[in-house]
Amino acid sequence: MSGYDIFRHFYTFFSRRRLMLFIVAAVIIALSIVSIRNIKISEDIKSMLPDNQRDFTADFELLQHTPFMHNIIINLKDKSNGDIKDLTEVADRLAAAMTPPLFTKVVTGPSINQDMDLYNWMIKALPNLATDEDLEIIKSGLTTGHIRDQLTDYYNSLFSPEGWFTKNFITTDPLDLKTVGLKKLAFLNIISNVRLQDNHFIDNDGNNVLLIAETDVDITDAGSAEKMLDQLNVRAANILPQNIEMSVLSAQNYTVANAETIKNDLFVVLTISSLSIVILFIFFLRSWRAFLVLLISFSSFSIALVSVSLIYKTVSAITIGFGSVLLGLSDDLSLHVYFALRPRKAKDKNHDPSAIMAEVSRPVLFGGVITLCAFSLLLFSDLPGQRQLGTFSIIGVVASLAMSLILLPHMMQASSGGKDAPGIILKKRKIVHPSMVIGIWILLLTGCAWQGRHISFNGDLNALNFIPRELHDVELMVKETWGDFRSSAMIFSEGQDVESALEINDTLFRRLSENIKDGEIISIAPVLPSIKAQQANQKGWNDFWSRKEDQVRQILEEEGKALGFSGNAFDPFFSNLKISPAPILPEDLKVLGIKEVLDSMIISSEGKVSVLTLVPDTAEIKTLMERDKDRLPGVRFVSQTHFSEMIRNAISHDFIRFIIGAFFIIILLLVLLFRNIKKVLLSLIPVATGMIFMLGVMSWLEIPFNIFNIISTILIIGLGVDYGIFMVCKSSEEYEHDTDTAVLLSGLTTVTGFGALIFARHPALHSIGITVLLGIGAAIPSAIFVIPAFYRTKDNGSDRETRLDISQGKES
Amino acid sequence: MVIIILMPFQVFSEEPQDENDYTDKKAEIFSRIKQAASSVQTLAGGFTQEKHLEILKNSPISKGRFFYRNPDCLRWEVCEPLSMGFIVNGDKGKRWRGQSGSLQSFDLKKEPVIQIITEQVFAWARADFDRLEAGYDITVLEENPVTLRLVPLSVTGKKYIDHIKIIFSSTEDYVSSIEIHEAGGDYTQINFIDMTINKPIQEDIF
Repeated sequence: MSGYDIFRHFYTFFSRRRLMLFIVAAVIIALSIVSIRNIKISEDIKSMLPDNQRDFTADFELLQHTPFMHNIIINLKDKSNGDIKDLTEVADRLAAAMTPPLFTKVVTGPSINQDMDLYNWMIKALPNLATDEDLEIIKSGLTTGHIRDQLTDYYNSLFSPEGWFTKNFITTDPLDLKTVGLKKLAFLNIISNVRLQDNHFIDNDGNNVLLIAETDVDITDAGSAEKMLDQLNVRAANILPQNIEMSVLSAQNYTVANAETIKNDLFVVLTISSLSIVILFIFFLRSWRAFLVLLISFSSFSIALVSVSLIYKTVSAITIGFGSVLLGLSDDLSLHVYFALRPRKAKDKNHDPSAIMAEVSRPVLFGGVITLCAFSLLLFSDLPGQRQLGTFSIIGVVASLAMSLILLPHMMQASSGGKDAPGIILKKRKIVHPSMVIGIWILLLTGCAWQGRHISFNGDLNALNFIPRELHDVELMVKETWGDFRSSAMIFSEGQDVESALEINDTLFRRLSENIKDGEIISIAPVLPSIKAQQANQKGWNDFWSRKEDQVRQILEEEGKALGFSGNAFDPFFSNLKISPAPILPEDLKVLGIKEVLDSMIISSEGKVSVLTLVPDTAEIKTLMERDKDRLPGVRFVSQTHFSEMIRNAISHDFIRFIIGAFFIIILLLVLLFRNIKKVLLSLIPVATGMIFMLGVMSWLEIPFNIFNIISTILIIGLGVDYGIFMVCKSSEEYEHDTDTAVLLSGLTTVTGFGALIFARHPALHSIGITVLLGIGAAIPSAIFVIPAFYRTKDNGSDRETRLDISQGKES
Repeated sequence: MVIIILMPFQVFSEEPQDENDYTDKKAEIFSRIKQAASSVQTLAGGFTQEKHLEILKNSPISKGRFFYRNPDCLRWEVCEPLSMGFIVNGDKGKRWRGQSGSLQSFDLKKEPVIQIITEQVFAWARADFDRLEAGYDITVLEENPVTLRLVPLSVTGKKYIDHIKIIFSSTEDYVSSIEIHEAGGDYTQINFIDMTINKPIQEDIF
């Protein structure tokens, strides 16, 4: 008894227990379908981030702290160039209308009017903030001439209408030292193009106001996100006059846009693919029994899904999405069994289902086992989502194999009583010019391989989101109006508490200041140094003024007298010099109206405090941070570009590992199956053709390879090998069973079913569509024409049928 | 009522029967001034400004001129003891300091201090009491000439300004004198002289 006779025995065994087999199968299938409802689905993109390196997860978590990343940015634009006060009033009314539970907080500007308070605070806080460099600048301004000019300027300003505003500073800050401190505030300017007016964020042109809202609506909750955006639009419609235009930018906008797009895409794609599969089945098989094949696919899917949910706490939505794609393989296996056992054959005189099962099980089992082994490589992936997908696919293929080889034959036999219309089968044929076919194939493959060298990998997860034109325009408008405040690189200074984090932040700021222009660093270090640094600054300040006070007092008195200032005019200034201000704490700054900035830059979590610094996301700064890594302990650099690069490397690494591993395993198994090097190599033709063609065309069309292409590649490998095995068996052995038709139909259902995704607007679905369409689209003809051509070249050419003929179910 | 009791010397507040009478009278005065101001399209004249500040030994006097054209043009120019000033035309402006000082353009929206001053001048020129009462508690001190006392309502305003005293011309169509009293006791007095109303103003003034 050969190893495949086991399926003959299986068939015989269950022939006598068919009812029991059907009941057990029905119970398993029904249970799995019912259990699907209880599966917890996770839409967390983190499942597609490598988890073997702590850096990935930690960086991803830190990227979530990008200022305003989770806020709703609302821009109100006055198209009529009207009074800014009218615009701010509308902003206030809209802010008031944005109420809980959907909106938890709306900020239209800093919490208090700082103007004078900020200046006075700065004058008092300067001893804590002035560094040695600042004291050098102050020192250079302590000349008689400089002080005279400053006092004259102040005196003259008293005659101007703004005089009442500056008078206060003449007594408390006659040397205009506050300017040194005020320059430090520029380092807090996260939104570069903002200015403040009446406690509102106004743009430089005065035609836009900015509202920043918070919400508890989860960014993955498309339903609530849609409800929230709808409510905002309705309230805005009631409040906003016609000349004021609202633009909204938030993570929820992307969620809604993606959800809507996927919904629309799925409708279009499912309609096209379902119709095409049904049409193909009707056209080729013309029997209701064909739907038994579909039943096997669907059942394998639900069994795999439920099994995965028992192994993992949650099932990734990506697993479900791709799992359904990968299980497109399973109809391939069952189709071959179907073609071997279809009723037309069953009426043959010499027809023996158990014998056919022994015959057909060999390529089917091997195709399945090879696919299974290829999927098992996914278990070694760096991405947890891919590992889950591997588990899912393995279970799905095992279920599909079991049902195709054990259940389907009996279902076919049990239903063989009816009369089917003759189906379409490919007529036995011979390739006319095998050398020409092989030549064209080699040329095409060489061209694609040459072109495919330039394929690029895109690791940007955002590129896999669908961004509608309107949202893209809003993104651009916000960037142009307010500055690019959402795409800076971030540097975190991490400590056990605020003080230790601030100390690290001080060191970082000093290092950055030496290498980056001031305007490009956003840091709280200049206005909130660590207490240790503040004490050092204060000591330096006191030492400085203990040396300079008398000299300055004399100059001020002399020059002030000459201008007409009274003798005690500058007493407040000298009194302040004797006061040692208390250290500046985060709470002090919050009172000044920069609470939102501080809240977004000091992040406390799990016994750790991180202080955020923003810098441009450039290669130079990344190099600088890598170079100084050892000199800056506790500092962590995170950027979208760097993160994308890491993902890109991980993807390409995973891809190369998967491809090499898959080919190695496939070759090994093919050697075991065929024990003939020629057959092994010929079996690989569809896989190699599909892969090289896909890479070549994608490279030619400048479509970068992304994570979804990689996962879809598995489908090409799995299906391609199956085609190869069946066609080699058919061409070299006595195995027949309408293999060409089975391969063609299996391929066409895959191409039309999943290739229909090319019509999807969503980039992720579109990527799958491209991969399947190109890969399988090339694998099918290579299996049907190239493999037989290699056998034909050794043939003496006695049979010269030239057509790829279609007959109406009659053997010729 | 409290305000009236605290102002025993004021002509208008000596006799009010009750608060309603005062409110009615105040409304009538505001209406009168508004009526008179409504016909004002241009306003031009000179001014003297006297600063009484603790930090200065003397009380320096400066002189200048100003031009207003309804609805949003203003030129405020100090000529002595130094030359400085600003021009506002719509939401654009220019400023200078010194005889040879070059003109610097500015966007009014970005100059909050000048914007506040300009808004005050425009509000008084138009007698826009709705706007003024949103920022100040206005009391009528005298009826002839109309003299108003303004106390800032906002905390920030109170921090720097104790009160402002405004005296209207006898014709009630322009302000003839302003006194700005600061919280510390310092004050500034501005008297407007040689005022001309609705005379054409050369375009290049603004």
